[in-house]
Amino acid sequence: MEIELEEVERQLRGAKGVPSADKLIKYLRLMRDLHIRDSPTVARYGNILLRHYKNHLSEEELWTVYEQVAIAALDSHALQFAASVVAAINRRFPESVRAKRLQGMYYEAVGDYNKAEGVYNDLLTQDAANEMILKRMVALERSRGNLTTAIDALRKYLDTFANDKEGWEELAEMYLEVQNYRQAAFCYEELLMHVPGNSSYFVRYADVLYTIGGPTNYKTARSYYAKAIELTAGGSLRALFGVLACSAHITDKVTLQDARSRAQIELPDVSTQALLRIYKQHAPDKLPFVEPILAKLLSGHGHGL
Amino acid sequence: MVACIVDQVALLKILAHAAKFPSSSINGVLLGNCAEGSNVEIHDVIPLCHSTVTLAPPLEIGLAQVESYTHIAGGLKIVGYYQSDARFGPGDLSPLGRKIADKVFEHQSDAVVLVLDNKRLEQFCKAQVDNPFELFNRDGAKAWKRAGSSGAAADGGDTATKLQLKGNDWKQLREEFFTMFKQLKHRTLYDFEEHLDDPAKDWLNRNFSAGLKFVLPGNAL
Repeated sequence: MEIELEEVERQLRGAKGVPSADKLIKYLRLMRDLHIRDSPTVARYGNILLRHYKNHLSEEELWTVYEQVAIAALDSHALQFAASVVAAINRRFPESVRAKRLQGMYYEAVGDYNKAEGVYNDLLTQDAANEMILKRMVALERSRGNLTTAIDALRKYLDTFANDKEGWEELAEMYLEVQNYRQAAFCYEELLMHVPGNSSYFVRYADVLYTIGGPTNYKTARSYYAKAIELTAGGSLRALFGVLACSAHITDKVTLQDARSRAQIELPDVSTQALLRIYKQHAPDKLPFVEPILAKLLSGHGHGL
Repeated sequence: MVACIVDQVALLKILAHAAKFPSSSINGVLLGNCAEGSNVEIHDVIPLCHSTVTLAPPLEIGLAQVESYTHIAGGLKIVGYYQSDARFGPGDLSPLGRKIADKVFEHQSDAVVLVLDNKRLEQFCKAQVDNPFELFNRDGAKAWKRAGSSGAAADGGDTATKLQLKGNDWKQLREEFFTMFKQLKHRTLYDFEEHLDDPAKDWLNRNFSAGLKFVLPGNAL
């Protein structure tokens, strides 16, 4: 899908005059599916689509696009344009909570946080457990810079909606921002439970443990990096470097007893070889910088970098 | 009084890094030279992170590779650290940023910090302000202070108290930034994190610097 997106973006950029409807529709669809955030471009192309080609879309997709463009316009601080799109949506769906939340988001974008809060509180009196609005309240506090309040609100939300993956990711990010690494680690543990095959969660979790430090954490981090290497068939630079960084901090001697201890002893060497192979193939100009680092990490002495 | 003199290409790279990841906090290191008692010169920057500014491993590995590079390539040293916060607030040096800056300071006692202030960036883009960057340096009490503030070495000692742009043409910097942005050149800048996710991406950004020479007519970089 990413390659398709690159292709259609290229076509749109190269278009003479107004780009064709199907390319614009495809671009916006791919951006929705891939959850990529490039708001100025989405706002621009969305504007063209809504201006010239509304009749090319089904009723359902039309208003999905309206919403996508509204959010992109707000994100790009194209406030006048955003206001017109938000107004159009609210005219079409006058009773909708989903539409009214866009009004709140408009006030957030102009920096009138109190007004936004007013909109959201009104909506919550109608429906106290509305996920969308509860999350807007978290975002609001985060924009205001009240991280502690935002964290508390998000924790409360996740008590009820524990399966919200994006919620746990956002909570982890906020904990990292306030440097509460232990709580961030807990969030990644939740994510690992919810999405067991995701190698980047393994890497992130290991990154957090490594950042906290300490002998137990280096060992645990190493095993999570090792799992990420497995999941990515040795392709993750982050995991490969991670294994070496952890090993350099671990001073216990492991005796060769069984397959598991053999794997542990061989892990640094195997990771080093994998890294050298990757750099030789993809970034040979960086090899001279990487080789001394690998040598230092391999020689260990528990000093790390 | 000692000044901190920065090349245009260095500031353009920081602006490009920020433009590429507008909703993230970003950081990187400053490369240049500073002899004892003379000006701190910043000639280049290496962008490091945009999604894991708070995590040790990518930072450690990045710093190690950059240091390795400076030893091998020669000519430039790590002379400081830069960052910009995701949130649209006053450009201060975050507690974590101070920690990272301290690490750089261990290796370079004249290290400086540049913070890209988002509010001033907005004014810079509207031509209301010349310089969107805030310079920090270490005062005697081991804290990072804004250069020229009363906490910084008021005795005119060896810490850099002013940020100077080489060539002193902030207007030209602004125009170059707009040109670069319109041509989407900032998307061709890669930070160390992107390199970790795709080793072919060059955190030295040699093509980017070379590309700038063509983007900016009549500009000797």
